Amino acid sequence: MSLSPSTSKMLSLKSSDGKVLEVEEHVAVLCETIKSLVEDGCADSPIPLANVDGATLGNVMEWCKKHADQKASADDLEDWDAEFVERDQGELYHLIMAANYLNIKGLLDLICQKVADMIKGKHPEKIREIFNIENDFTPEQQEQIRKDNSWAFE
Amino acid sequence: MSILPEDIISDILSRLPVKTLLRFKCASKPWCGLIDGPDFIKMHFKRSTEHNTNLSLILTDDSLYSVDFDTLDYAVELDDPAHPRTEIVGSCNGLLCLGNAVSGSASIWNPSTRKHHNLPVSTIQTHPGCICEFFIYGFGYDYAHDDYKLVKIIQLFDSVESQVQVEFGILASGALHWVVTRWPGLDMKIVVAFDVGLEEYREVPQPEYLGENFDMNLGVLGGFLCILCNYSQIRVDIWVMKEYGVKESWNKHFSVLDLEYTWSIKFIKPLAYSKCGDKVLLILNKEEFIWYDIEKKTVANAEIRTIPDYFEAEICLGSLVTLNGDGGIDGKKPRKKNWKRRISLAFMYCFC
Repeated sequence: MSLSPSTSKMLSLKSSDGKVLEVEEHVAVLCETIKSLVEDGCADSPIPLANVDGATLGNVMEWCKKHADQKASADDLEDWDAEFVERDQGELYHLIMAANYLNIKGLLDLICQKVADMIKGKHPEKIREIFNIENDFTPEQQEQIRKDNSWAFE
Repeated sequence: MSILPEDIISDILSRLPVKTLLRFKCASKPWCGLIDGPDFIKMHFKRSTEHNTNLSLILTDDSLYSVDFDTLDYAVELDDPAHPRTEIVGSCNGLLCLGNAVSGSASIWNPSTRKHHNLPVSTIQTHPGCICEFFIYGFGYDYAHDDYKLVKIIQLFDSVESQVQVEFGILASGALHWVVTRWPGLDMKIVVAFDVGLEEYREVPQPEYLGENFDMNLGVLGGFLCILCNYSQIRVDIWVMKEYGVKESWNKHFSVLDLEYTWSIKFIKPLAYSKCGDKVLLILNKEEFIWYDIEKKTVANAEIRTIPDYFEAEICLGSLVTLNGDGGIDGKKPRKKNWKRRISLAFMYCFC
């Protein structure tokens, strides 16, 4: 089975909110999850993607399309990626979950790095807010950790 | 952001510097447990090593200083456990082995977490009538047991056969290396390796040098063993052994010419490649840092603010590696640390 752009057929992807997206096969197979279905011959009917909403699926396929373009240079992709990740936290969250579910290593890597850059050097209070983390330390326990690593808070 | 799966959280956190991670330990108990966990420590170490990130220069005069390798902007004085008169015996996997020149004590210190472990002072029995002239040290990682070892060599006062030239062993390919000179005339130089895992020594083949009459020293660059040949007032050749132990794999990587600088090169030491790999950062005469451009064959000053006037430097990885036996980096279950046994390890190579 050839997956080259010249012979690529169209695949139908169905999002969790019922939207159907027609995507070229050589673009969609950047998702390892979809690639496995294609290789197993299970990709004829619209492929249901229960964990990805329509808007996120559109964004994911936009990334896949750019990265499936063999004419794009490494520098071009780097610039394009930098612009692609300029999104709010909500969108980044949905992209991470989708990239994880669809098993797209390059996209997952890109978004994880973006989130890491966003939170680098932040204080724990801000981190709890960003990641919806409940502070389950007692004030004494928290103070002890701060004391043990006091230089990291300077 | 809603709750992310733990493996995604780990992936994101493994991209952060240690200082930020120590702060995040306060976020919650699960985050604290994750960051302290051996799997995460390994993951963080692996990513930093593979991507050449989280590196810093550790400088020493009488005190220790740290410079972020990515920015190379300024030196920050560190509050190290062996201060003052600290010497860096070796740097390995984010751990520094520090020696105190006055007390003779040694400690292992992770400058990123600021955790340290003092080593017991070892006494080594010598043959009756032999007088110890000085000690030579080396600090390395034992891949076989996921552990660290401090090697101590005795140079005997009445040794007539050989003398070790460099003070601290150079760690490359799992072995510590020293230049040893042999009588007669101390003009025959050999490179001796001590395999940290196997605890065996061997001789390392040398390249076919391009000329005679040079001062020889060892270094490590990108994990490869280097031989530095200083042709006084002419140039320094930097040889790299691409395939460890294979004589034919020695490659003259580059030369730094004396003419490019107004004063002669008395001391030079390669530290690390730049991010792009096109330049090498070196210490020159223990007074300044220079960048050598491999393609253009040019030298440029690396201006770093607030560095001491005269210093030694090591490259150090920012890691969470622990000193208590549960932060191994290769997935094996580490042995319980037995510092006493390990620092007692010494070998005498044709000194008596």
